[in-house]
Amino acid sequence: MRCLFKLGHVRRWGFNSASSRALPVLGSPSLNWASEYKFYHLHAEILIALRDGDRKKEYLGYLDEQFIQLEELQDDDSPNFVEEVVNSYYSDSARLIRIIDQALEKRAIDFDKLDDYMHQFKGSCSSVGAKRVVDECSQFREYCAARSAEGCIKTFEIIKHEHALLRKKLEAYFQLVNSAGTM
Amino acid sequence: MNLGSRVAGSMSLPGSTANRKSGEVLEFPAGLRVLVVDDDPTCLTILEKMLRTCRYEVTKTNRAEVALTLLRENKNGFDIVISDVHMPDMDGFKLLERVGLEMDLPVIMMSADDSKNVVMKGVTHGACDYLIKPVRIEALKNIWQHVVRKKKNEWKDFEQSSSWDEGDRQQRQDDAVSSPANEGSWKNSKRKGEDEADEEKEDSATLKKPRVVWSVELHQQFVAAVNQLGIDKAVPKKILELMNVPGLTRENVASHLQVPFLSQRGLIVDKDLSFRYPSPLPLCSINVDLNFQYVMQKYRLYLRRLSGVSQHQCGLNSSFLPQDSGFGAMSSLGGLDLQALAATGQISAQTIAAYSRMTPTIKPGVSMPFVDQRNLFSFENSKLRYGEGQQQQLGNVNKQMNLLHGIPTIMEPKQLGGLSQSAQTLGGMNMQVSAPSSHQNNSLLMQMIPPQSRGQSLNESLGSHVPQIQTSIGQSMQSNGNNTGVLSRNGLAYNPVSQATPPGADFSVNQISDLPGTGFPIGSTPGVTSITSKRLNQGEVTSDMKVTRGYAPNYDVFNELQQHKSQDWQLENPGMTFGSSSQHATQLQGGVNVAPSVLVNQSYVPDQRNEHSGNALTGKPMFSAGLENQHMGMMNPNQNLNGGLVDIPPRVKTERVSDVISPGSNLFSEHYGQEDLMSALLKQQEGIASGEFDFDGYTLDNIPV
Repeated sequence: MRCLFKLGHVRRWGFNSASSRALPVLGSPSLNWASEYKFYHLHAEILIALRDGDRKKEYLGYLDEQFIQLEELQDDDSPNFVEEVVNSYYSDSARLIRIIDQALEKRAIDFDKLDDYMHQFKGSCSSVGAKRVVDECSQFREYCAARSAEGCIKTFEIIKHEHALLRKKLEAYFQLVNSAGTM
Repeated sequence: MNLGSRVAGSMSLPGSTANRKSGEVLEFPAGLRVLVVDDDPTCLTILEKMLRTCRYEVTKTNRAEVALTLLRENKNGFDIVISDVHMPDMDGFKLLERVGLEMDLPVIMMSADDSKNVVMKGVTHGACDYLIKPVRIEALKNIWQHVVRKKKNEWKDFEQSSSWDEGDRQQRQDDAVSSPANEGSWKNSKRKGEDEADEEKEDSATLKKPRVVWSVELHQQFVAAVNQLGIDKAVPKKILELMNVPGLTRENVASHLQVPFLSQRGLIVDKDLSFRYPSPLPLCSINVDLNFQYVMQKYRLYLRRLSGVSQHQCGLNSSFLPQDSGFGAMSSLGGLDLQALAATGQISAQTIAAYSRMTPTIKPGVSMPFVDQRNLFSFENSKLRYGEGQQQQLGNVNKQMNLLHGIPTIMEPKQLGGLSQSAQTLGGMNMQVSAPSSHQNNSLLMQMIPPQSRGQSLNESLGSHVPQIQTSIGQSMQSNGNNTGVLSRNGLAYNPVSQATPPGADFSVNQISDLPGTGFPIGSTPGVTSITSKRLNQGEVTSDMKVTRGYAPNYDVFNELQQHKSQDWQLENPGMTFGSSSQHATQLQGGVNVAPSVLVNQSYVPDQRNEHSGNALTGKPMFSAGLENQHMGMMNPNQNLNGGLVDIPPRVKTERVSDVISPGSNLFSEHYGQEDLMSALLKQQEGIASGEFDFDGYTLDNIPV
């Protein structure tokens, strides 16, 4: 909520981006979060969520509702909660990615272990709402179950790519949010 | 959002009563003391934040061991535990079990995995809820309901149960609680076993009242009172006064002091979840009894949970098998069986005790035998040896068998083969026998029983038969001595049937007649196993048998059990006496139990299991506890069943067994009822009896997680 408010601020202050849409005003703090809300499409191209009324639309973005939950948790007591979580996520997931990479490099791949690692990784990603990454993780696990080394390797490349991409977007997002906050 | 004042800025130390008057009822939901365990730091942070937002007091840790330590050190410091399923240092389910057993707190499991089996596993292990990650705050807002529910149930039990037998306990308690602070009342575990057996028997017999259930709330009040008085001055009388709980007697308080809840005075719970009394504490009978009961209750609850899944699937079973680091596979089986049996009221306490004993010894590998046994039973299509009526019974049994969950399905004939190799197989056979049908390991008992009860539900048959058997067995046992007793009891089944009797035909008839009072029918029939198998029909035996049989290595147990008086245990309190019974009564029971089950096995086998080795199956179930090891022959019975009682050369000796097992011949008949076999078995048991069953402390390890 707060972040959105900040976004609203950014928007109001004329933050223009080619990709930003003419969305209804969100900036009002009295916005009823629960019922209907829209996220601004930031210049950084983080489309977080799009929810219309009671129906939850398909999340199109990189992040899903879990991310919104995190934002809602942020408050005066922990003003940088989301960013802290995201940072923690990235350092922990980097470790897991390394482990999985190593496991995939082995000649004799241990799929069960791989599945195990991926399970952990997926859990982590889902905690922060990294939707696209999570989807790829599910795919990866299917390949593990099918014992397809090639499938796993290919999917993992996609995972790494999405993971890095999301990181960039989130960095930009936080920059915006923080800078908006300071305004 | 603003955090509750008590939470804001505080680290919510576990057990801190600064914000809350100790002993007072929790104000739900705010202030709920939650312990969160998750190896994922991101998730942990998020959960903590969410819980804080809900105004709960949160303590977080990323290691299960740390969590357990925290819980143990702050006995009353938490209301609920939330744990991840997947953790590197300890499996979440294991943690769940331990918490449930030791602290009896509600535990919520979490995982990103939402597959049905994992969720089911959570349920069967006793989790009060299962959350799918990513966890939403809405899900956490309501976790307080689990705490309330648990307390409510405990209070209900408490209120319903009358206070303990004051007269009996009064004096003992006086002695025991003279100084609550010291551990003088604790007895050495070893000794405890024996004493407990007696005591428990007595108490169970005299008490016959529901125990006071110490709910979380009540316990908190208790602890608050103790804290207020100071450990040294916390005498039951004063505690009672402070607690000011209507209906609570001084004796209740006194015994609760002994309860392992309080670590400083109590049971030591080892890493592997075995309970031990710190030695060398003199053990007051009452204390032993109380503790024992308490522990057994916990164990029983645990087992019950496990057995709750009885219907479940292989998936479950397999999970049990491999894992069980804590608890041997057997235990899961055994536990299940026992519980199931206990649940049905059929199983005597002894059986359960035997079972429980067995479980500790059972290693994952061992579980195989169980399965095999099951197979043995199942194979029976022939089931019938018993003839039609029996078949029906078997059918019943099969259903019942499902009580045992887990292992059986996994065991396949091949296992049987493997089993045969080892003495274990015998044990396993028994087990398997019990699970005639499919998949579940129905405890041997179950199996055995059905034969008897034509068309009756297993329970019924069990119920009716068991008592009979027990007595008869007991008698015969006594006359024969332990070893034989087992067989003889079952004897029902043994002798006559073993020999090549036509499938089904022999079993029913012969065995029963033999039983009563006969020492070992075994002698007559080949191999001891035959006894069991044959007579299993009787069903009576089954219950008992089951327990013992399954594990090959359990011979010891049985021996042990037999030695103890056990008789009393039987049927006493199946659930409860688990521990105790195992100690004493079990011995007896074990023997007895085994036999019936063994017998039953044979009869059972009928259906399902034929797939595997067919014969092999038959042989197995038949064994009673003791026989297992040796009895390869036992296994034969199963086999026989398959093929109808083929005549198995009477030598039930081990060598035979192997023969039997592999070829799947009808060892069945042969093995049973051999007197020497019995003695051999018994000897083996003794040899084996090692301290696995060490009930000193209720070895709960090996209980499969």
